[in-house]
Amino acid sequence: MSEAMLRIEGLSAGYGPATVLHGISFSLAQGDSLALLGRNGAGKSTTIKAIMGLVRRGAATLSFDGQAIGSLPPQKIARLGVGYVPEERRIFAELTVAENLEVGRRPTRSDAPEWPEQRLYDLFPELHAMRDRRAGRMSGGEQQMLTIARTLAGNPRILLLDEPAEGLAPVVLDRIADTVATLRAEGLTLLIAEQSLGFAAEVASRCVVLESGQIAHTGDMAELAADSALRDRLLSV
Amino acid sequence: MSAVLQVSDLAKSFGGVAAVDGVSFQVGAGERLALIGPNGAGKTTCFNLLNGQLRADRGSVVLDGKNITGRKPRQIVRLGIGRTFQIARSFLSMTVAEAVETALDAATRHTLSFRRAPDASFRIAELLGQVGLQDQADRPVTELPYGDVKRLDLAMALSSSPRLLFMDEPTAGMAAADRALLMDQVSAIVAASGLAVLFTEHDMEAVFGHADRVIVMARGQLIAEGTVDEIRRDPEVRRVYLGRAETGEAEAMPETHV
Amino acid sequence: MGFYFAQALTGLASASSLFLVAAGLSLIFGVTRVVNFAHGSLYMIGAYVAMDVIGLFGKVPGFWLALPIAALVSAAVGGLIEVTVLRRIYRAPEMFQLVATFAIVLIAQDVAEWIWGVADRFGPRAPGLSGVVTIFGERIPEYDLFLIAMGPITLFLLWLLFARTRFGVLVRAATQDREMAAALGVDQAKLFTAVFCLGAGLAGLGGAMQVPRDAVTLTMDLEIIAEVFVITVVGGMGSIPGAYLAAILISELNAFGILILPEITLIVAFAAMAVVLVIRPYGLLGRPPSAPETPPGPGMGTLRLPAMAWGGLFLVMALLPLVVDQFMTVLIIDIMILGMFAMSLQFLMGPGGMVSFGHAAYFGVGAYGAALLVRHLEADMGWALAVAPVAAAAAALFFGWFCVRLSGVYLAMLTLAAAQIVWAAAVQMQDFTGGDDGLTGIWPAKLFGDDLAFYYLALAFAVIAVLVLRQATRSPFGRALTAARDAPLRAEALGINVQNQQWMAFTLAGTVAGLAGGLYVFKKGSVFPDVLAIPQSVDALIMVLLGGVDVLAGALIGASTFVVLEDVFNQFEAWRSMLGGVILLIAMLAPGGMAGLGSMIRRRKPA
Ligand SMILES: Nc1ncnc2c1ncn2[C@@H]1O[C@H](COP(=O)(O)OP(=O)(O)OP(=O)(O)O)[C@@H](O)[C@H]1O
Ligand SMILES: Nc1ncnc2c1ncn2[C@@H]1O[C@H](COP(=O)(O)OP(=O)(O)OP(=O)(O)O)[C@@H](O)[C@H]1O
Ligand SMILES: [Mg+2]
Ligand SMILES: [Mg+2]
Repeated sequence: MSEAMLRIEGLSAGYGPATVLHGISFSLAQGDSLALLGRNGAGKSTTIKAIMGLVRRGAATLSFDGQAIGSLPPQKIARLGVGYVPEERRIFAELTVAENLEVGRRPTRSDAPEWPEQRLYDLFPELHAMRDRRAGRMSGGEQQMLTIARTLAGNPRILLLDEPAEGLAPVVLDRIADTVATLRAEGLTLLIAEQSLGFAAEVASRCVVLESGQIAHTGDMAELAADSALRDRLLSV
Repeated sequence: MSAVLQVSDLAKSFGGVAAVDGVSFQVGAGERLALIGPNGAGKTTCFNLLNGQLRADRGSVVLDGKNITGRKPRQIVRLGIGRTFQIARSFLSMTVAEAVETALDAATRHTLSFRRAPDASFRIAELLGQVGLQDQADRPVTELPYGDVKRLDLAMALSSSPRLLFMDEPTAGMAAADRALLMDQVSAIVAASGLAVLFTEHDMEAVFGHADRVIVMARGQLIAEGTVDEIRRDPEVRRVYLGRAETGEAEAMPETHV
Repeated sequence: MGFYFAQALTGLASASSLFLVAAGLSLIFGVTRVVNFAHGSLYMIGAYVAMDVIGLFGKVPGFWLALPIAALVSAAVGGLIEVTVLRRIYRAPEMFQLVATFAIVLIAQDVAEWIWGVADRFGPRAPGLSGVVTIFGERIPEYDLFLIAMGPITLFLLWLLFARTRFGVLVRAATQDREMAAALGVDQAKLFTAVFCLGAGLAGLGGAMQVPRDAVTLTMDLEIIAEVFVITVVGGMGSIPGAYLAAILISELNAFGILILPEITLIVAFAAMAVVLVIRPYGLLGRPPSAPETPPGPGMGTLRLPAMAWGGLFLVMALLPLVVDQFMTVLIIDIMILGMFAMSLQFLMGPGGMVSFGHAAYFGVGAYGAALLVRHLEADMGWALAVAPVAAAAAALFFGWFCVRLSGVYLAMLTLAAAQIVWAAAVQMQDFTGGDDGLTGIWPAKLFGDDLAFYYLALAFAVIAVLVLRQATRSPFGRALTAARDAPLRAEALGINVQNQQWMAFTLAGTVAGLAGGLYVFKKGSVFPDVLAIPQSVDALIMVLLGGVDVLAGALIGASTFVVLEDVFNQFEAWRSMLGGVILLIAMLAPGGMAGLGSMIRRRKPA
């Protein structure tokens, strides 16, 4: 097994006095793609936010490329090449589409796929037509596209996607799945929290299932997708 | 079947963008009508026109023979249309029962009163029972899992005994199995009360499993209308919207809940 | 013709300095969402520093050096404030931020007095621009023309900075969602400090530019802040072009208003604001905030003191005068009166979710209502006390109608402006209200002339206030109000008339404040415009903050703490700084309030 790019050991995290993650460990090598699954409230988003430094984290080993990121602020983590797509979209509503992308823009790096403006618009032609529109005046799905594009504009080395499929039309999902496949071929690493098993199965090769803030299952994505008894035990209500 | 809601030639543009461009359809009593379409097709705009959040440029909306075009959201609710929210926001400082009681107070125009309505508890229990939250009555809303927040949202929408319910992406943000449960509950309520439901959704299982009829929008206009089977076979709908999506016709797929 | 032209130019010239200060305030608010009360202090510092520089270097080149140096010094002071204080409280509710910046105002007043002394200073004319030019036969000061040019130039430069540079885009992004900007790699802390310095520098420059036109005094900080608040609200919070338009509008109204209605110039400005806000609720060029600014946390308004505890408290209060001395009895009367005032604000802010920066208006209207009745109609105490809450209710009904159309900070600023209108009326309507001399000799009826009797009267009123507010919070009325606070769109979609609900709550809060005000007059025997002024409103906020916004009883705890603190500090010369220091400590160490720790727990974000 190759050297881990993102390593998480014994991660606990929470909001205010409440702890919602209890000692989570997993790691991703360069080029890996891992799906984080689990019921509502299992802690998927919290895991991603903890990696990003957006929630209170307990003492844990969090490292990216061998560098400890457990106590770095979000902007420093982002600058190392970690791209984050939040589930609540959080576009800058008052800024235009082009300006939103400008905020996400970071210098290109040799070790990550490059995302010049044109490539972003090729992926989401819908956005090109709305370049100068204020982002708050777009439909829900259009905003979701912008969120993804904005993060890609930073030429990230690893992508943390929190429910990217939410609110998108099936045709758009197809396009994103295709792009993710290309990106993986270009060496991008992927961590994706998903509710939709179908989409997760298309883009991820491994999976971690969370339950009440703990890991309930780790394994192969295709196996989980195929094994309906296992799925029921882990994911049904 | 008599129409509860009759929409004719509804239109709305933002600046140069014709978000909704001459849409007409009707919702029958007790019917579950799904409105689907690509991102930016105009579904949410259409909803906001129907429930009064936005003012239409032209066209009319008639509820039970009564023209409700251009009324305020509040008035439209009182005329018998309930709605749930895509991102369910609830009253975070309350318990589940308190939130429903507030909704009932609103439905009975009781919100300026300094006295509690005496006979509320029966209705509260009934509403919570309909969405399966009867055991959660005294829990703070903040402690609910998201799926239950959405169910509470539904219970609140039902508190005014509406004739018609609008749901914009009702299962958004929910886990696959929980989605099915919610839609089953909606269907049960429809069957029991004759409520009509108009909903949008990008989750094809919810649409194909729980709609009596489907209308499809693209670029502000209706491009198809029909039964579930007709829609999933429609080549144009497949091209602009469904893509490779599984349409639940044949092979088993990972999403299928059990 | 020529005369009106000259008058118009005078208005434009006054607008420039106001615009610079307002632009700074608007900028800081736009980016950090902090309503910076200390902005007036930065303006004052700029003016004093300019005087010092002129004193040091002589008129030439002193004056022209003074402009940049004043801007730089104010920017540096602003940077210091941002790094040491504001940075720690960006996440706190706006009330904390306001109170913290007000604490800075208090400290700055002491420091300024210590450095520069109490005497007013008069600056020289601007060298090189001290002449006049004749236009349409009117003599226009050259310096006015310089000022008139400064406005558009500053506006243009700021527009370039924010619309055309990456710095501008990042600042605007961070304004909307700091956390998300950070997650995209933007170092927002540095951005915020930079913007704060810029805004503070503009205030300093504005202060220095006023030196040739106006006296430099220790009261110029609060004088300008009210006016600048009006301008930012009229222009639209966060909109710099809006601030420019509004500065011109208000200055011109002042310039011409003084010709027509010299006694009520202050009112004219505020009336203009009311008109603008009715037509455009978010100001001339403002836009409604795209998301609710501070989503309320869980736990707000959920803490309840059981009836038993209230009963116990009442018993203690009823027995207390039997064991304490007269001095304490009088002090406790103060606590009860201010406690009622604070509770009414707590009701507005807690269940109502409406922060008022001008709640003193209703306390003051109650006080003046009672006093005026006694003075002009020789009414007795009973009538006066009955009229106090009614007068306050009428005022709250009137101003509340405007206020509830807005939310968050916008609403708060409007409440402040409303209070300023009433204050201005009290000061300027000399014949009726006694102006600055106030109304004196308003003594209670014989029966209540004795402290002990007055104590029980106050206690009776306080009990009524508690019962009313407590019932209001627990009833369907209060629940619907809370619903409107928690999720306004959801509430509206259930058929709740959110604005109406808030309007009634606003009126109720005003009524109780007016009741407290009525008692206050008879306790003091007099009333002055101070009861309507900004510090009085801030006092109430401090009390609520001290006790925590979540519980009605918190307001009583806060009022007790405040009255005792003030009593202790009053013996010292630097009492303002001491009070300011304590407030800062509380705001920084316990953001969320002493009793309100619950609201620190962030609520779960909907998926
Ligand atoms: N801001 C918050 N404040 C307090 N608790 C929170 C907050 N956000 C989430 N939680 C709690 O943390 C737990 C994990 O939430 P998280 O959002 O990580 O779940 P998730 O697996 O992403 O769920 P979903 O599928 O609904 O997105 C939940 O119990 C939730 O109630
Ligand atoms: N306030 C607005 N100003 C300008 N354009 C708008 C505004 N709101 C929506 N639009 C545009 O109108 C079109 C329809 O938007 P709408 O939100 O109705 O789409 P939708 O069908 O709900 O899409 P989704 O599935 O992505 O939610 C989109 O192209 C959108 O960009
Ligand atoms: Mg999540
Ligand atoms: Mg939509």
